[in-house]
Amino acid sequence: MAAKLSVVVMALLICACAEENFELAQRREIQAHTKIDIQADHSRYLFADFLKGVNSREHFVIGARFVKHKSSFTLHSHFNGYEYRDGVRIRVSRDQDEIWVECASPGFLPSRTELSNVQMNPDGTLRLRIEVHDGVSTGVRILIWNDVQSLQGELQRARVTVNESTADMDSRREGWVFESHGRGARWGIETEDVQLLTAYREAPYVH
Amino acid sequence: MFIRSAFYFSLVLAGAFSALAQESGTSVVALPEDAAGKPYEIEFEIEYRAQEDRRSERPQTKTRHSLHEIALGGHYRIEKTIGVRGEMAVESDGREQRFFVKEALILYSPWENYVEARIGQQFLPVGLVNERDDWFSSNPGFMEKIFTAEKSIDLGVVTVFRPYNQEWIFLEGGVFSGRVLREEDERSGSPEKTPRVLSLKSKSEFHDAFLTYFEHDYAYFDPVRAFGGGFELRSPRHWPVRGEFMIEHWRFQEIQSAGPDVDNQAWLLHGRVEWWRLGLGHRFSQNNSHLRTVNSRFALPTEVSRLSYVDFKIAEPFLIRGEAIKEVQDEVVRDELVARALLSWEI
Repeated sequence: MAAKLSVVVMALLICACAEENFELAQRREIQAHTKIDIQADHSRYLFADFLKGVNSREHFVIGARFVKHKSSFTLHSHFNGYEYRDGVRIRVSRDQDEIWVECASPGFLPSRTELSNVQMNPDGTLRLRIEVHDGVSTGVRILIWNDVQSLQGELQRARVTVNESTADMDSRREGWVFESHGRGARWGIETEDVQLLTAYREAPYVH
Repeated sequence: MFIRSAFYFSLVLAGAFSALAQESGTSVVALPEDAAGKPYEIEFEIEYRAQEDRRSERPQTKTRHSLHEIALGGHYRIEKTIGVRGEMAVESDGREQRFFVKEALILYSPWENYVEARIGQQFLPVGLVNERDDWFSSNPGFMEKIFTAEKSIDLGVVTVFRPYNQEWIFLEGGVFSGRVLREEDERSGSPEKTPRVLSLKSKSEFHDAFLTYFEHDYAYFDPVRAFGGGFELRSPRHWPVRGEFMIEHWRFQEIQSAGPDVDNQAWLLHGRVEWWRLGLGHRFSQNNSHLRTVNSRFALPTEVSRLSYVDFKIAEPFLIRGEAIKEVQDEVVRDELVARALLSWEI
């Protein structure tokens, strides 16, 4: 009985910590999320809302705070869950003051570039817009915009300026070719020494 | 590319060979001689389009307008059993122009009214909507899932078989090349399985009906297998108030070799009322999708598209049309007003 009670208490504590760790932005579009395996330095979030399809265009807004000088978060788009890892992976990492991004489709090695136009706020926070086109007429294409304009993070990028030509990273411009595509309709975020502040989807901006 | 170039070249040669062809005494069904006995027809079309994205804080919010399309086409009856038809167009989406050949066909009818073959670049005869070029400013989203593009044009052969020498019931089958150009690296790829379509159809002045099976396995895309059926009813042209009603239903699967399949059920309804030179209509479509794994089934967000329009024929070749489009999947994906001016001449 005591063991069962302790498990329940532990579970409640984990949930409470997770809520502190994950602040949902106050937006109608945000869907309920399922949290699994949340730890202090390494967490995985599997979102309960499904993507538009296995082959679709998706737009994600992700806000995060890099806690350490070497930390990262990974967006898994169009996958079937962490046990399969069969989606498009976009890993955004901090290396001192530099922000790097790695993109990979299932079964292939990632392509890597520095997001030189993306600047982190002094407190380590960063807000990105990531658009993933998967298995549609444009093949797999990934676009990233820095969503914060001021270094203090006071202003967000005006949504009217989000378009193909203003993207801070465009996999097509980089010349990256993805030989496979995501196999599922779920999305999730994995963090390593990163506090996830916000994560939601919007209708895509690029067609 | 070579195959296409060779095919277009063969169209030019077809005229020369026709002089050597024997008179067979049969007639071409697809290219009937008009009342004046003219063996050819030339068409010229221009569309001017203005669009406004009504969603707030979107880059497309400001109105875009452009000369959307200029097309030149026509057909020529070489002899009673052979004809050619072609149409080329320059299309602009406001940012870039694209030249493409919509149609480049040889029409061959070896047995009078019983068998007809269309060989060349053409719209895939899948459903009623795909073959109606520029019917609306955009097609419903589920069509992109079936064809991997909003509309589908390909090089292929379509054969029509009319066992009873009439169009009340006939068979139509087609096979296409299925080569696609990947936009990422502009590399073209051959399909694992060429697109193929088989239909049982019925046609008259007042109706169109079809039952169709269509499948493909394009390079770089998931294979698709689709079953569809539908009909359109039209009132007689001489009625003062005329009407049209169309319904299409599609069940199709996006099949994955290493992952769950997606089952789709899509509906399309269209109604139109016409009086004098004025037309009013509404198109509705819905696609319900499910992700199917070995032991579970999950509903994906339903895709709903509504399009209302009004058009006015100023003169015989000149039509203006206003369309209001709203597409929702989870949230508003498209909310647009489109104004179109269409001018089409026939010589």
